[in-house]
Amino acid sequence: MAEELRFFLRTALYSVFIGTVYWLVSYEVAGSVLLAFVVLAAGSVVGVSLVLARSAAGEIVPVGDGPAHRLLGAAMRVVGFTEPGSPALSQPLEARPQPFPRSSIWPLVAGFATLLAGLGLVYGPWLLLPGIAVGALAGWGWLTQMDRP
Amino acid sequence: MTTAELQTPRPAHGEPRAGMVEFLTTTDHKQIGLLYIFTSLLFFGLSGVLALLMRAELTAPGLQLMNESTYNQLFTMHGTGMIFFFGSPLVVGLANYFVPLQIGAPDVAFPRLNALTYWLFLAGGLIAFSGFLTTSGAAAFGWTAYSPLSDSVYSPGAGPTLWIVGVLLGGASSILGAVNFIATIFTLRAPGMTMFRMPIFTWNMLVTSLLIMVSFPVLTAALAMLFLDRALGAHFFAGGDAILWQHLFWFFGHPEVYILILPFFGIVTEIIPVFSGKPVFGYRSFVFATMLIAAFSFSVWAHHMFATGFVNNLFFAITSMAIAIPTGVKYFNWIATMWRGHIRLQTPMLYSIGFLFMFLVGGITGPFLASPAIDYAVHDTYYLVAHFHYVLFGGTVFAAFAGFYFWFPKMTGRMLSERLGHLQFWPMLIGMNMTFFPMHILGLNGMPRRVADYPADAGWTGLNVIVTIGAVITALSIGVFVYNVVVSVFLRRGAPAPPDPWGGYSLEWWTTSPPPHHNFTSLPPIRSERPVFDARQAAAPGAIPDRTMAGGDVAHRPVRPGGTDG
Repeated sequence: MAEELRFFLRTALYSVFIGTVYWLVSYEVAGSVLLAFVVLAAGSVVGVSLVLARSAAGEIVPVGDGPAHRLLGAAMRVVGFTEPGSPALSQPLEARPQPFPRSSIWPLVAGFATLLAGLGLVYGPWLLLPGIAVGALAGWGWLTQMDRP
Repeated sequence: MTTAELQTPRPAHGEPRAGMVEFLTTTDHKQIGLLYIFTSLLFFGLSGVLALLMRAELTAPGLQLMNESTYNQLFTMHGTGMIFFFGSPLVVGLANYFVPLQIGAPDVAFPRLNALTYWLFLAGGLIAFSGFLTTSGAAAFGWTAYSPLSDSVYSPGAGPTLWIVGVLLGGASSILGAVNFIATIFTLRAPGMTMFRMPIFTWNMLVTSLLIMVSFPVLTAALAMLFLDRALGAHFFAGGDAILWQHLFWFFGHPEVYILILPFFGIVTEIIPVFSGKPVFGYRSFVFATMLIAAFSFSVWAHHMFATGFVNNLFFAITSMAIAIPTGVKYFNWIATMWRGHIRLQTPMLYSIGFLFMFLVGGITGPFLASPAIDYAVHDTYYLVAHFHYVLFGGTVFAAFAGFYFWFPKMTGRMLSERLGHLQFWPMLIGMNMTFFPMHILGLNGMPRRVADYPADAGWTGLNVIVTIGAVITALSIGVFVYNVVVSVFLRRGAPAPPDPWGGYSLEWWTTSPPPHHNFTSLPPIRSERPVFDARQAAAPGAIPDRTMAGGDVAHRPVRPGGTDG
């Protein structure tokens, strides 16, 4: 297992241990739930990464052509796992080379939209609605800019 | 990379200076890092002025300059500014600039998202501090925003709601930034840069990012609930469970302390080996101590709640005291790194040693406060203020200045004056101790924190005068730093910085000062956590070819009669 995953695994295991001890000595709900969520969050990273790696290596391939196969295939597409039969990746967590943008106006616009919307939460719709509109514009510009080479 | 290439002189300045429009639209991690650092220092100055106003008021008994309400606003926004809009963003700024450089990456994984995090942070800071412009004033419930004090009955007006929205945006910015750092460190490391060859600062930023990922969403959710309580009459906390707010806040709040200190541990761990002429002692134990501190930090939150009577004091006392163990490991390693080293007392090292002593005071008073019996006695007194200022000023700020002096040449291409650096250090050390040490005694004598006035016959006046004088000396010392920066960069009197002015170890010292947009034109072979040191040794006279590397790559190692590296 890669050190990257062990990093999250240690977090999950420690949280299991300390969460159990905490619950047994205190029976306090709020803290126990928070620690349980740490387990869930860190454990999810490990679990999803392992499933992704196995899926990419072709180890998780739904067998058969029945409804269960189609259902599993659909579920894997929804959560972003490699579809059955697709070429395996060589490494989990491997970065794909992508060009780095040198500049973009849209983060600034999105920040301005957040400023307006944030003030709108306090002072009312006359700031909130323009904030949402500018935010939508920033989102559109951002996404379309990402599509361009 | 060959020896010849290593010795080729490289230009001192990578690219022309960026204009204002380029800075506003930039997605370059270095420029975003500079924006973060500059803005966080502005908030540091603003919050520092608020502190000076508070000290001016407390110099003598009676209300001379402000009423209690104004004083409450000042300490609330002082804490908010220092923690949410100076400490955390400064960490992000330094990490933005140096993490990609240290792992040999051309940028962070999500450059646009990186730019967005800066603008969210700036928007959050402006919104939070804009409370001062409202008729009801800024938030006045302390940076902890305890319920029901923070509800719309006890804290009416727009200022407190602006505080909630501002801090919420700052938190969202931190979460997005943490995602970016984790993705960058996991996916963009240069060939050869394994996890256990990463510089300690990068390791600490990785652990800090995990802390942010786990703790800040809790704060964000709690703030959203508090907002609903105030704006829509919900009853999560006020009229609901006020203790729940404390659980949620401190589940964020205590890891936040480590978010503010772990990266600075990393900075000091970068500096001490370089200025001791030795490799860092116990690299892996440093890494695992960092992980252990982070893990413990999730199980100590309710030591802030001993006095409520609603928490299991024994559990939190044990876990809180346990944090001293990995921290002690770090201290041992720092001292062992310096032991029998060729120590150069240049300004970054001076600040690092200052950090070791000052943070130690804050660290030692921590286990005292982790004892419920002592905590009951000194809870909400100036003893607590002294403790966390030794941690956050003696720790974070001293290490931050160490980092500034260390990395300033890399960021700007110009050296800071050593003479002015020393001139800043000693008044800052003296001023800081004059400011915060007497607070221990004031706290033990019973002076409560968060008060604008105190009785004339309480016997606290003399110590308060000393504290105020210390605060002024500290402020003047920071003025020396500002002067140093202005003279060096803006008046261009600082000596041009070479790529590696200190004899550094990690990859940021391989490239020009400042680095070009793409960071590197070449990278040395990475075979240890000190690739630049290795390359320098390989280029030294008498080096012999080393053909032990995988893939037949040829490196050069110097012939040395014995002893440890450099």
